[in-house]
Amino acid sequence: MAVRTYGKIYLAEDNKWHINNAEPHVCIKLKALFTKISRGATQPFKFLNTDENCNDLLWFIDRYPLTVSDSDFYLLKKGKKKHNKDINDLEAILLPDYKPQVVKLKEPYVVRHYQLTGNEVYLKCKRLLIGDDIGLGKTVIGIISCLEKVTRPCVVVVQTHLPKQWKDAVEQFTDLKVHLVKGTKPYDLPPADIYITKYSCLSGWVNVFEKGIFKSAIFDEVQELRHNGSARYEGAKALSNNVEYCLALSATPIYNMGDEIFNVLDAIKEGCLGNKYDFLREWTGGGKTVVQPQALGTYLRENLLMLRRTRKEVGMELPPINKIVHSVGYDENEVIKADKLAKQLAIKVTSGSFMERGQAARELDILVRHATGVSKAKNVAEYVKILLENKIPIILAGWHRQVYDIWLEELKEYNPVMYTGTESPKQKEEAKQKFINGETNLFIISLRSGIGLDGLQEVCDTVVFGELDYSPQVHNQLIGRSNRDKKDGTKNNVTAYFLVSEYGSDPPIIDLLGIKTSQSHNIINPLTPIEEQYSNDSRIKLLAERYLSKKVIEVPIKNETRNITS
Amino acid sequence: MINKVLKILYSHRFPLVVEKETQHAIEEKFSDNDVPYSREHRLDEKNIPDFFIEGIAIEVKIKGTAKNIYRQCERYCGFDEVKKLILVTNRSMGFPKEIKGKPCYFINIGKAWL
Repeated sequence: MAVRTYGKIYLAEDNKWHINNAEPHVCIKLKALFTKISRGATQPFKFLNTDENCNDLLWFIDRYPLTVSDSDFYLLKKGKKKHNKDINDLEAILLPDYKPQVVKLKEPYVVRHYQLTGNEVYLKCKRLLIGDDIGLGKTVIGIISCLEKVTRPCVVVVQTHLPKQWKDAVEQFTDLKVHLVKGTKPYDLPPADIYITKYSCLSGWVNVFEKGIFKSAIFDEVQELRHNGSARYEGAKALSNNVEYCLALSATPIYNMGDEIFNVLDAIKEGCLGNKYDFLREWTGGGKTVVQPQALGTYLRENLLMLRRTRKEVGMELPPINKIVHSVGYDENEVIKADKLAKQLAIKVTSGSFMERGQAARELDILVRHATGVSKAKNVAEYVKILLENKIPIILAGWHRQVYDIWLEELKEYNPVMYTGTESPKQKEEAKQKFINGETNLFIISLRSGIGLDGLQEVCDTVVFGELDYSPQVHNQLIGRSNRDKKDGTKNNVTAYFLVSEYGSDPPIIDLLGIKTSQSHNIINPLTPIEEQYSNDSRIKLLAERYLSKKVIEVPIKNETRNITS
Repeated sequence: MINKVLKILYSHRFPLVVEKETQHAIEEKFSDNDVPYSREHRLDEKNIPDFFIEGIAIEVKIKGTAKNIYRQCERYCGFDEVKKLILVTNRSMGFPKEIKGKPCYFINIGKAWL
């Protein structure tokens, strides 16, 4: 008996699969299953001739038979076979005994095994987020991917302070020609293998991207694309949609809540998580928090949207970070100063008009964060003195200018150097060199200035947070300045002190940080058991005793390490 | 026993989004550490702390207002068989050291995720 057919499918001259003459109910079904076809689209429905689409179309034909020529049917089956082979190949690459093809760098540099496999997975998948742990050399994966002809010319998009670092790295390892793209206004680009630009410049180059002259794109620190709707996001999408290969790099793709992963992945592989509404409805229940973060993380891994290897997995484990949360006292006078204004704002937040409420809430947040930082600044300085008196080099992180001023005054005898938004790149470099050369033991840094900063690990294994950031990944990035491989191959036992106040913005920020970290951890490491928090304060107690014996004075601070708040 | 229980609750990372998952993870740690707990111990029809260990009532709260959480703890402390109380939560809130003369402990499990 002849099989009933519901329409016709063929490979057209535009190298796309066309479905035509389909019956209305089949059209409805097709649009429901292939959501990239808009609801209002009319026949013929067109599909790119990719192996994945061949696989899906064969599956659809199995349910709703379509008229197809023998030669086209053969092509569909060939595509399906290739698709399945690619999946098997990909799985094989990730097996521990897999031998990847060797990629040669300039002498004496050698690519590590996991970097080679990461590169091979990317070249097979064509669109991938690599989320290897901080310090595992994701940049090298990006660089070696450009050694393949098919990915050149490549556009590398980096944060504002990193173009030169990337250029230096490319030239250190390879002979590839690099051009640093200047500004947002397009100009005639000189021939090069790699063009490095900044996220902030993307929007100006959209027209150039759309010409399709670039073969691949690399988004370094891709968490920069966690917010959609901005000019930079649209610029990034224009670039991504006009290249064949797209690689995203970040150990911390989720900075805040789990929903951010949608924007990040949608930028590099549009539609891979469905549309935004589907994603929010199914994964977050309409909110920002992913309800089943481990399930989402597993999905990302299984579908090779994200590849992540921890230090442990690649045999480069660092000692656990010793995290100590310590409550410090606060200056009541500072609190009283801020209280009056805070009260007025709080009244507006609860009773003002819609606009007033929003603005007052933002102002209140800024005010309370500032007041919290200032009110505990002297106590933070006192705590830090214990470490400095014991000749321990430290990185001290803060956020507000007024807080820095208090620290500079209170700690001036220790010759602090500054690495914040106020210093020029030259001054920052000088500060870094002074710290590394041992001219000072106190490196005051802005919470958000640390990304990509390298070298401090040679002299410093102690990070002190005098103020908190709203994003846990900002803390991790800063800890990463000390928690990375040293030149001699040894590793630091890093201690991070979180000096928190019982007053002001610290308690709610801690609440939020907890939720954000658990979201990020479960999505990025769905199969890894939750790590224990390692917290050992015996060292600081010992240091405090030594400090007191030197000073021969009464206990200088009223603080206490509190494990349990009551 | 109280110190052992507090140490377990303080030193591990527990899920923070779904209360049942938090309870389940805590239960696992209690089992691993041979803590003789009982689940959903009935003080009466309406008052059922999540865990009960040798006179210590443990309430796990991920959601709810501070006021309601406090009232619930206050009710538990009204029972003779409750000698001590531990509130395990991911939200910062004021909590007294004693309720109705019974020692109370407050554990913010969010801190372990820092």
